[in-house]
Amino acid sequence: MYLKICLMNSRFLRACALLAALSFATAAASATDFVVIANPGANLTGLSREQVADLFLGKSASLPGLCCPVLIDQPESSPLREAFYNGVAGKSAAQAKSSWAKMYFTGKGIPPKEGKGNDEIRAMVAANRNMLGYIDRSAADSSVRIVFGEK
Amino acid sequence: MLHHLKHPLLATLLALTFSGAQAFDFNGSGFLTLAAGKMIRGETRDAFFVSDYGQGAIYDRGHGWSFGPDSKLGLQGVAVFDHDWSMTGQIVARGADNGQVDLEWLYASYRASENITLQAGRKRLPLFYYSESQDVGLTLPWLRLPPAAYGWDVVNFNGASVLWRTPLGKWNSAAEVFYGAETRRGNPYLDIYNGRGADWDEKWNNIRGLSWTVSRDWLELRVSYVASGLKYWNPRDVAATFSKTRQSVLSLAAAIDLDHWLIRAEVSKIDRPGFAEHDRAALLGAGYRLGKWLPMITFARFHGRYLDGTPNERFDNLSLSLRYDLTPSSALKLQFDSFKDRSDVGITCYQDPVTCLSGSQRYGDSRLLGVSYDLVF
Repeated sequence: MYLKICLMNSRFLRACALLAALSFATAAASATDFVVIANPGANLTGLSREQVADLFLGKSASLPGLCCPVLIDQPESSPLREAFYNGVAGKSAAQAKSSWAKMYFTGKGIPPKEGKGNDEIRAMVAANRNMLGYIDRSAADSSVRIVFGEK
Repeated sequence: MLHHLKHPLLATLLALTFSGAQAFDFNGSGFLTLAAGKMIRGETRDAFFVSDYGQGAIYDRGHGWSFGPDSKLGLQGVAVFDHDWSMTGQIVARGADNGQVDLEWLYASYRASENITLQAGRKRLPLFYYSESQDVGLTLPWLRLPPAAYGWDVVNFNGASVLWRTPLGKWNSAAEVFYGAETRRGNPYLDIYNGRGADWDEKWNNIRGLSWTVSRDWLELRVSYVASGLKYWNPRDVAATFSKTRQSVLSLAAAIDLDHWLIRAEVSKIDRPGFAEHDRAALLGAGYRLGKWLPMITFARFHGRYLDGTPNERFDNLSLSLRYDLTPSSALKLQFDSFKDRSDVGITCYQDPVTCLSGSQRYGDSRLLGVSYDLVF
């Protein structure tokens, strides 16, 4: 709505532009700023976006140096889950779930486990060498290693 | 109920599953489709629309809204014994079958290496792109699979398979070979042609097949080839009704998933030389994803051609469907189908089993409206 007002009324242009920029930046920071984390003991460093997407969409089941990682998803209600699948694979969380259901009910793969949120997923990954998850950037600490999304 | 369990191999596998109950992790899950459909127009009083050939699921004009043909509930249990061994069972109760429970999957799985998985037991037969996940509505863009391309008489087999998954350059490859057999007693598919309650039996023996899928980013391509022996008989008079031949089923499929566009294309070729039968089927669907909405238009065609004078079976189906993702695990769908029957008279005696000798009618043109709720849990 404010964009419409901005277009219609040039007097508010500067304020509107600022407002638009601010709201854009806030949305980006709160909804899309995730990092993929691994156990520091795992033999993994940086992963490419394609590697992360292939793993979390079930197209590949292993990584160089880590056979058969166990993947951890955010809860279905979490906006981070939507942002993650959008960000790494250009897919919605519903599309990802749909393709996992196809694999799971036909014996082709085991979908990611579901964690309760950032703290639990970080703790699970910190305690298991073969687990991979994604959490809000602000929730990452030294108990885990960031393997995708590091600035 | 669970009549397939009489098979000794399956009984053994089931016994294995439930022995040593302390020694494994067990995960239960399932899927549900609640669907209602109504034939809103039929060419004749007897016109009928087959929504799932393999299960004999049918809409006709005699009923208003039907919940039976497309509704189903599936339950799956996976017992993981250790990192590499697991046992999976899946049962499905269908409205099309008056709620009878069928065992669709029961197999042991062994991960022999990082890339190779061996499975043995009862599985879905991977004839076409969506064959194996046919019952799981959430995995489909449509309310149901296009019957023209997925209408086949045997959908499971007992046997073994080897799956080999590997990267191929920038592509991901999954190749599966399988071998087995399947006997269907009172096959509901054969009731469609031989008449309600005809209860013919059918066996596919020496089933051997290969399916290969490669995918990269937005593109997935699949080819499969299945060959087997085929036998039909009516158990009330085996000597007079027994017939057999060999058959082959070839399928080529492409699935494209761009940011907004979704394309599904599949062609198949089925040959049963001993019956002079040469069938062709095709589907082409295009959808445009808008957030949680997926409107889609799909055209499908079947042509069953006989070289011995048997009436030919030909039909086209145009579907307009709309899917809405309620949550990642659930969806609502609305679908309109327009079915054009171009068959010769005499392909089916489903509605007229008593007087039918060699087939007496066509399906008849029809239009169908359906709504569904799909869930996985």
